[in-house]
Amino acid sequence: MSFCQKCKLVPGTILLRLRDLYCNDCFLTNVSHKFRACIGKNRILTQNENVLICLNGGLGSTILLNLVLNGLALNNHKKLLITPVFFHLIGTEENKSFTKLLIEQCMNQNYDINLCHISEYMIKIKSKPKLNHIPERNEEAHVEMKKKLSDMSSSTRNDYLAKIKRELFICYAKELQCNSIFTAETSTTLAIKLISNLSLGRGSQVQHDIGFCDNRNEVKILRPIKDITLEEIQHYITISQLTPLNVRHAQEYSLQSVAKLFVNDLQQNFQSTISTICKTAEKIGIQNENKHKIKCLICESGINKNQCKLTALEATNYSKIVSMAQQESTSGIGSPIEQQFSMFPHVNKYLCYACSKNYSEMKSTVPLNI
Amino acid sequence: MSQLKVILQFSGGAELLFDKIKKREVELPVLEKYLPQINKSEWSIRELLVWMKDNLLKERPELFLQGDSVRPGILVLINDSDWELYGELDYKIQNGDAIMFISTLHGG
Repeated sequence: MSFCQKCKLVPGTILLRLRDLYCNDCFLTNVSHKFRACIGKNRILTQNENVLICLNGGLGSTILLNLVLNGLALNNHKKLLITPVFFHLIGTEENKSFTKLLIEQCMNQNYDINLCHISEYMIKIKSKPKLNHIPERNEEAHVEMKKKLSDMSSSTRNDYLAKIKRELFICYAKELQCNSIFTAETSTTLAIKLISNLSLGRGSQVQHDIGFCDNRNEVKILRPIKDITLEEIQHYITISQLTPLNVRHAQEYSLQSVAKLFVNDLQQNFQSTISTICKTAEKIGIQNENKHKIKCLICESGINKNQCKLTALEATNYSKIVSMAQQESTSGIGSPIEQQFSMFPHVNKYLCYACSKNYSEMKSTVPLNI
Repeated sequence: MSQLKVILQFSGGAELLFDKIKKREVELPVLEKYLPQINKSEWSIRELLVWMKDNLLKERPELFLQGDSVRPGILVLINDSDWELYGELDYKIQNGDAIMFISTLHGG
């Protein structure tokens, strides 16, 4: 019998990454240490500040809820010093019984949860979130939202939904007087997100989309369980006997699903795939970040136009112009004619490349506030 | 069922296995009649490969097919997008689709 490699006293029960053996206690300590260390070493939170904690009932979210509650229940110097405000965004396809289970999950721990519909995005003056009850749905907005989403390709839809959620989280964080937001992305999710974001043309935004802190808005989005892998989460859930809700996504083929297959396939045989991807992502950043004056209206990323000599965006546009047989135009890249025939509406003026690409796929107009 | 016409394109060397013709327009027969044993009515890439093997593939099928899929190293594009984005073998073929096979296997 082999012993736990940490305490070397008790027989190990959990095998991680096919080689590291832990006992239950050491494993749980290790996971909660990762969570605490992630918050602690970044020194972003101030004492007892309100933090919006976004839950969706899935694996990551269940763990986040558990770790936060455990942290708050401590009575020593390790106590987590935040005031949690739980929040859930109800998706367009979510059924009521699911939402009720999520409310129960929170109520069982004696905490309240704020709820809102994702279709509020379509409305300018958003209704206030409701406590522990499913708020009434604005049918018009709901239908409009569904229509808009169904018009897009699945890859675009996933990307666009992520941006909508981000904006709504920030909006409701302000409403509920929170300066920070916790989201429950694991290192596995983030590795997949990195690969898909790169392929969608969001390379310059990696630092904010994958890193610990997204500070594009004054409300910061933090990812406190970003060092915990899906494998660890599954063990944690079994040991602590938690009941995650089944978040089922329709089987759809998209860039994101292909990226997921790719990462998970590699991870099976090469156990350091995810950590390599995430460590690489951590090292990617933007230079001269403060110089950005223009921000994308949808994702709030800085738009940095004249950084490279020739970008893929210009190449695509140029190719489009040539294909349209505008031979008489001898004007070069960046000229008015390019703006006019650009495949990407509002690019570099109001929108970043990827958001503009999404925008070009929408048939109905969006509240862009231009 | 309405007729199903697709454009098949071959390049990167894959055309050598198909009479050296790079582009052909084909019309697929009614699936229930062609493959009655599988009990399906819609053509997917899986059945298309069987049909291509029986009707178009002229030599050395092992250079094109492996099991019920194409050999690793052959890229398949459906309307200019990688077939992985469409569910690979399970993609339901639509009338007018352009399906391209690009071989990345070369001698040397």
